Amino acid sequence: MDPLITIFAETLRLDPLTLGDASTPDNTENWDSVNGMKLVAAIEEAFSVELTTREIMSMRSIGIVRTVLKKKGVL
Amino acid sequence: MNSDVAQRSFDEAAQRAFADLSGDHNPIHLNYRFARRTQIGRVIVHGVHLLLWALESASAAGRLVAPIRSLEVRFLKPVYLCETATVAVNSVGRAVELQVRVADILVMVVTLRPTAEPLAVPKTDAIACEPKVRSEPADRGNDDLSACAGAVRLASQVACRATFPSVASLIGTERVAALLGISRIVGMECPGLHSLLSSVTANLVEMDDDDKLRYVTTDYDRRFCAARISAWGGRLCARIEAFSRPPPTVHPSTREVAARVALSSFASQCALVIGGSRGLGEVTAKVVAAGGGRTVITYATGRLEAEAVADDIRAWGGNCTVLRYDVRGSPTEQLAQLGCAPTHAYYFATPQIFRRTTGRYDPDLFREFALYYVDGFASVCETLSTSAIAAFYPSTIAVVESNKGLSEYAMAKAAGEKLCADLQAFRSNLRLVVKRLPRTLTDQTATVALVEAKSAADVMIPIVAEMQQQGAW
Repeated sequence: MDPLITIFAETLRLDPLTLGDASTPDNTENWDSVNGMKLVAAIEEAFSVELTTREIMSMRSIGIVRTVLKKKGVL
Repeated sequence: MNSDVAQRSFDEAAQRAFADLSGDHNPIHLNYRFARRTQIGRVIVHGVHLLLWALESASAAGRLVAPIRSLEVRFLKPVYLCETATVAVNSVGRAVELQVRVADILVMVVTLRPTAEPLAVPKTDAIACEPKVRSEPADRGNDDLSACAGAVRLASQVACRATFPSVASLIGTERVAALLGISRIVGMECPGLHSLLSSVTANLVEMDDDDKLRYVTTDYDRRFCAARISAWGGRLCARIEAFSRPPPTVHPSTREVAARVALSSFASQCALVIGGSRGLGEVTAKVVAAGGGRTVITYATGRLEAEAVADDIRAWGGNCTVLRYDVRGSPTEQLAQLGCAPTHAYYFATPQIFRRTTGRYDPDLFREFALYYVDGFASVCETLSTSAIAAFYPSTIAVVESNKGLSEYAMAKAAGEKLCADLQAFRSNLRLVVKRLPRTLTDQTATVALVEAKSAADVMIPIVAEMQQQGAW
């Protein structure tokens, strides 16, 4: 299972099959501002990274999160 | 089995009674004027009150049985005064789940389990703290919040048992008192004044105890102002997640604005600023005044805020009067008190923008926004354009961007843009400036999330300058 999808599924309490790189706060249930912060914490813990404010603000889809993490060399 | 077990609404008397019982007198739960200056916009029910009511209802209905070793509470959305909340009970494996809804919106989920994951009790000097008694919540900054520790005294067990008898029998009166203590810690101590409770995970434990609930911040994320707090006492060990909301937005003073505006640049403006008691309206009034213009600012409910803006302008040496104006009423009668013929009008009347929504289109919500953004603006323009006037209509980039929960708002603004185009075409006395404004930092937009927002002064200074040009005909 894709580890990033797993994090999103567990944090947002959603079926992982409903999530993909096109998932955004606008089209994904439970992805609101509070859960967005929990996602950041979960991602940072799972991948042992620290995300900058600018990176966090850019993460408007799972695909973008994946790109950010790839640039940091953890995916 | 899945069924609704109870319904209730919470009124002001219930709020005060809970505040007295818990010691949580945070003004977000009690004071309309304070709540209006938050993004939530209205007085909200204490989260722990909702929790204890849900537990009491489910327990009294015989839907909860011992042993309960842990509970996990997620506070998803606020509950406003006088709206009806419904609690339903589900069995989920060995756990029991309570879901509280307002209309179709899930606002709180409580999971009760016969087992518990370990929650460590921190070893800290906070154990030695004497309980604080506050009449006002602590107003803390980031440095303070990252190192909070202390204790609160538990509520009277007699009162707890009288108020929540079934829960007290089920889990123990001191644990009810401990849950009340959590409300007091979050609302009065840490984060305190600007707190927003997000979740509580608690284990029902056996411990040598006294009448205190101790707490310490174990983690604090400065990016989000998000605190994780451990609390223990009353035979309860809890992990609390809470945020510190942004405080009410402080806009620059007229004196500060004047440093960015050429003296007399707006001296020919007699500006009516509708919705000038705060936010974009407040800043616009200060910009016009700083440029030598005369301003009349209106308010619908924020008289004291409007007077404060006017006082600031006058203190600088500017000219400002205050008028009560409700865009939902007759403009002719209300604007008869104006005392001058405005040359410029800036329209910032708005209801609360960010709402708790189901995600489905809400026609009533659209009509409410349209009342302000279309009907109200049309009425004002009709009344004022008996003589030449330039008017500013603040639209929004939400008209062309997709933002969950803002469809009705964006639709009403789009309708307002069409109105402006037609008014411009058919009213010779009217010059309109319409701008799709970016997200601008005001009370309505200030959020715990990391979102870019422009300063109101940066947005409005060039617009007032453009309005000055429009008015010169």
